[in-house]
Amino acid sequence: MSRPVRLQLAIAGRRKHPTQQFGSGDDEYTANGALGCTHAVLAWLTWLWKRTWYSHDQISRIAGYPDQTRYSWANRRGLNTYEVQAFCDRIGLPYQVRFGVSIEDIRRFSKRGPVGFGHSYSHWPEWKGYRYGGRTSDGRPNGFASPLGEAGRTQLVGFTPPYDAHFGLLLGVNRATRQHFAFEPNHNSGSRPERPPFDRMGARQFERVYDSYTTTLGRSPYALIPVRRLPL
Amino acid sequence: MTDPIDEFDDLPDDAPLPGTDQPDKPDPGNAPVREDTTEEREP
Repeated sequence: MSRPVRLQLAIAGRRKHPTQQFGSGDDEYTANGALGCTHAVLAWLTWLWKRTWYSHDQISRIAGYPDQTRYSWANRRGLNTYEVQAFCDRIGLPYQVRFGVSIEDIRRFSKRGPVGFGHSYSHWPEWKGYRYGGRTSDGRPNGFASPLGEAGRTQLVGFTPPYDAHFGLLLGVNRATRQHFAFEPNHNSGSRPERPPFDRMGARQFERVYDSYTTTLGRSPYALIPVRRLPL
Repeated sequence: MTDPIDEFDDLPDDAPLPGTDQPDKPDPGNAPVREDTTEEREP
């Protein structure tokens, strides 16, 4: 089978619940979702594995993540890696935070279930034809996502390196087409209301995304790896 | 050269996790997404 069965499950799950980091409600801790890309990934992963929904604020309290609205914008942040692991451990989500994982192992372990990873938003493939902030997407530096004009990065200005660390989820890889299926949660805001369930990109595009955490942001590769197979 | 995408079936259930444990200091994680001010409701 060219599409692993767990990838098919994840695709169906994203289509059923195309949740994003904005517009989820109960998201005061993340300043109405602005800090909540990792929260959004954890919320959807928890639904996929445990059929339970947690809001951003519930995830925050479980993880020990402080309410960021106490702080000025310059001092606000998303979930750090200790808090991500604390949330997984406390609710029994079978994932481990790992560092320095190779791109080959990210792909291999996505056969167990979706794999989370840090990246620079600047390198996510763009939504073809999207207009935002006086710009039209031009496919630089990493091309367009598929389906063309229905998926991909839409915030074309205002979220750029070195202040654009972001968190995404590799749902899996179609071995026949080499297409990588991935969830990028920066959508469903007031000015960008789309809710793409997932984006597709080629192998080389995905490599550029994953490498950007190191090459663009200067950080060690950060991944959230399933420790066992997603039950069928 | 073996194509890593074609090696997926070789991953055993007890395969050790790749990479390394968390460092002594956590990675700071994701940055804030800021765009139009209508979304930013200050407390």
